[in-house]
Amino acid sequence: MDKKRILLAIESSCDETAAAIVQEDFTVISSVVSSQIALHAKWGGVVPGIASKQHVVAMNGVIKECMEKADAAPEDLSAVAVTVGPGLPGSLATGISAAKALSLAWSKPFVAVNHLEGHLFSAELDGAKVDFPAVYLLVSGGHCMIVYAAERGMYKLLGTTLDDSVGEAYDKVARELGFEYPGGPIIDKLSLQGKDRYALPRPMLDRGYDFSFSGLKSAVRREMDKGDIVKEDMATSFVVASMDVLSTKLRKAVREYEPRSVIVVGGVSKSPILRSKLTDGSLGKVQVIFPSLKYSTDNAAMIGAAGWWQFKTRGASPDHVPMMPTLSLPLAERAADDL
Amino acid sequence: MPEKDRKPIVKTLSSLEDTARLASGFSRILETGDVLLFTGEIGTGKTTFIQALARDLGIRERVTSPTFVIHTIRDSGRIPLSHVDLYRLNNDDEVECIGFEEYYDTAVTVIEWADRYSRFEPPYVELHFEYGSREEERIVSILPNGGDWNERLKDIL
Repeated sequence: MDKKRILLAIESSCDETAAAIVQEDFTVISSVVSSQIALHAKWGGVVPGIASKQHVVAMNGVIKECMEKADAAPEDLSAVAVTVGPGLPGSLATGISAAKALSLAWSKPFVAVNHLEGHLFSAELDGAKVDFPAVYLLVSGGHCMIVYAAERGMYKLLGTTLDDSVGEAYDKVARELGFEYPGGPIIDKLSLQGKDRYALPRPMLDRGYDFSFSGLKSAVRREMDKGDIVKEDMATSFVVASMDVLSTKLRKAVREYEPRSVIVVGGVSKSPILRSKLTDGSLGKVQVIFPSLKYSTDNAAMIGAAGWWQFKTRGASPDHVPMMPTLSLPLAERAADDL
Repeated sequence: MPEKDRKPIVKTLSSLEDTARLASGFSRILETGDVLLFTGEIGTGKTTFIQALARDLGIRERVTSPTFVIHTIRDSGRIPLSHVDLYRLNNDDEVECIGFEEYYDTAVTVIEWADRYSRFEPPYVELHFEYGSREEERIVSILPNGGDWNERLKDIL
């Protein structure tokens, strides 16, 4: 029997330290994300909640655990892939250093991956098949964009946020309602219990594909200044308003670009209201694909999938690739110059 | 100068244009090494001010709120802009893990939610934003601290 090739992928661009072993057909053999395991129990001591110090503490344990879970030895690997941007400089540096060191020590090709492209691959882990052309909606704490791809890897950015990402608006509204960071998941939960009864704006609804969520956040604040509000109802009104904007823009993109697939990725893709709005038939016959919930938020498996595709189409990255904290999605018209 | 003797310069911004005009004034005098600290509730205009500032510094990329990524560097303008947002951080130790101070010497540093950190050292300018009485209106209190900020601000305020 042919053994499928595997690679090791590492992700440390923001909060999560993550490592994964991914097969070339995007099957995930193992995926370890630091926030999902008991760090204290495993490595002892207090781990800072955020940023680079945590990555330094967690990195080796996370890599070891993912190698062990996959029963993989260094010689089994075809490459080492890592996120090189965008992200927080100190955090990126930890993952890149680890990946470069392992690639050197094990004499394995090094593959530099764009975090945003990783998210776009997240829906294809463990078997989902995307037919092109495709329209992607990437909605998370850090990102908010709508992208068209005539074929795999040929990206055209249709729109992005002018101010806050939708995930950030979620967290800030949660804080206004009195919940601790990260409040996004709480808002989603409350939104299923309340009524859509506060009149909130749908910013930039008719203005192309760009988004703006800062005004929506302020509108929630103004409603609250008027007097007592019911938290569940505010959560519902806010989520419905946000998801109206997202789904309206997606419908517009589907009408204009006639894709065969719509792929919705990033932490906000977990939203039950968004999922039901996009699968109620209003997008037409196009297939709508969401990643598994565990691959919606930052993880290394998606970096592994993007890494495989890149390795197979463009080969290994040069050893001198730097970290790129402000990297954007490689767009089709200049794809050859990126990475 | 002791804290109690410093008086903020208070300005009413009645529109986004007023905010842009104030940011434009700052963009003319800013130099590498300058630090601006921003405080004020959600939606009072901190990011809006910084977006206008970035535009006037000649930065081509779209500047958005870095709440999630915490720190971004934009270097397509006259001076690199180091943009920090401490909203998600809980204490001084977490803030000191980020490493944005490494960019103090080579950029203009703007820090949102600066009240999340207690160990900033002058010179810097504080800009505190509040809601005004009308929907569009904002009140900004500008408080120079150390260096030659008093002199430099005279030209633009």
